[in-house]
Amino acid sequence: MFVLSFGTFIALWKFASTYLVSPYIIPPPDDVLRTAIPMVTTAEIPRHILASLSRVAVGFSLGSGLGIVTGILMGRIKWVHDLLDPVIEFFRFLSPTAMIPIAVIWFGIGETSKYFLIFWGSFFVVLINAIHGVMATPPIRLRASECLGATRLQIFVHIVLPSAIPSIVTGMRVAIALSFMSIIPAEILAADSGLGFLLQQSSLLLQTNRVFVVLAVFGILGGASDWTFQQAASRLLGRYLEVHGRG
Amino acid sequence: MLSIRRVVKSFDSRPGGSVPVLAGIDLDIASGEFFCLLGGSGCGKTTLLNILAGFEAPSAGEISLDGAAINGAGPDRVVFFQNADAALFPWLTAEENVAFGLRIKGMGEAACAPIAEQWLRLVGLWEHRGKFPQQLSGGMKQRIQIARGLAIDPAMLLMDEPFAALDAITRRLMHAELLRIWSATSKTVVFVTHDVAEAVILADRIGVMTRGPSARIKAVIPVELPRPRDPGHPRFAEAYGRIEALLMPEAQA
Ligand SMILES: Nc1ncnc2c1ncn2[C@@H]1O[C@H](COP(=O)(O)OP(=O)(O)O)[C@@H](O)[C@H]1O
Ligand SMILES: [Mg+2]
Repeated sequence: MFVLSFGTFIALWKFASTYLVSPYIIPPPDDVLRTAIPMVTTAEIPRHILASLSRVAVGFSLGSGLGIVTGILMGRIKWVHDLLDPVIEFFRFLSPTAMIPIAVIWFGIGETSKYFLIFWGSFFVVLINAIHGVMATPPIRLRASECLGATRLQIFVHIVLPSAIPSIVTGMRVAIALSFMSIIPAEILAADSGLGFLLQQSSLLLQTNRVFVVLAVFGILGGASDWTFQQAASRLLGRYLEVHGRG
Repeated sequence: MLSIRRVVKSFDSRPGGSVPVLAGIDLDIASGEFFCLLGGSGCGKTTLLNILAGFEAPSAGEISLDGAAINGAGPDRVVFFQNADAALFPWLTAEENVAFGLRIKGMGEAACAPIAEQWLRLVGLWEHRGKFPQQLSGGMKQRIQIARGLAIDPAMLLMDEPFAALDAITRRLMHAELLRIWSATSKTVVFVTHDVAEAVILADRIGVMTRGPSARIKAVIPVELPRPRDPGHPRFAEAYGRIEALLMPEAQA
């Protein structure tokens, strides 16, 4: 199915680029492939991949980490929730793209501004999911552990946290997607390396072939990251994600 | 002795209003007694059990256990929830669920293992010890919950229609097993059911509740039949008929 899906797509692409539109608009797939090979072998692409991926990795880790901790506190402690919730409800509607101008003023066009923007894109979705995960712990589960003798701390560690894991993992998966969506505009507007930068540069020079190569590489990277994350999550946290179910 | 005095419970409803669920429950349940609370669905059985467990405070009235007031839940009174699926911990295997109460007390894995094994064998699920709750049937989950509660050896069992979802044969076996455990130990059992036959099979005494709202204990009927009780026996039928006659007017029209 995977082969059929992409096979059909590439066939249509070839057809359109040969008979319908100019190669400046849609270059044929074999041209794109010919452009791609030297970009990869001269380490041009790998260098930019590394730049983008390391920004995503740092920003996503910071955003998820802080999102999980804050979310658990907010889900568990009412006054923390009531204190932070209004502010968060305000800030979470500012997309990472909306934050680019201020990030440049604060942090310049170095790495820090990209870390900040990816952090911004990951934090809120992980936070919201962590809060929900903690609060949605089934009351019977809490009561059961209570009458089996669990203390407040034990209930938190042994019941509330495990109950929140599926929701947190879902939040992190969405955050990965958001990180990939945020890195490109950030690099287009404020960077001198990374796939977004390369995309912008190729576009300015009307090198449509190269634009296509970068887009393809980026799509593959996003899919691969999500796959890797899911594999790691089910390897490390499988029993909390209810993957043993009979459906 | 579990002593329930004038216990009232109402829940707040929309602005200003409140729903009176229990209106003055008086009961004394002796230590070591097997007591059944019998009533139609929605009459407030679970509400009363939650109060006995210490999950909720009564709106008025007092409950004490051997003279000490109950405040909060504790491992001396284990609740067996009607919905075993929600009560088990899905990330723990059957065996880990059963050992949970022991591990939480600080008991080491090696010390827990034989106790968990004993209870898993008793409920007939030793072969399934490595499975997760989602991999077990409803009846198996309920048996795991029962093993988990009994493993910590509580003085009192608070059971909320634990066998309602089991097939008839499994239910009969579980009745026999529960009675065997109860008579071998000196545990007090408060067993909630809406099933007259189940109450007559199990109970020393049956507290028949009126229908809600504002439920009360309508009558407390001792069942003086020798165990094991045979539902085919004329005296069983006689007790059944007497209790059903009390319950019949409480059925919702
Ligand atoms: N937390 C609650 N808030 C409001 N009403 C409740 C609550 N819990 C139970 N009730 C009401 O109390 C009545 C008795 O419920 P319950 O104790 O579950 O009955 P039973 O276990 O006998 O079927 C029902 O009418 C139910 O709607
Ligand atoms: Mg009930």
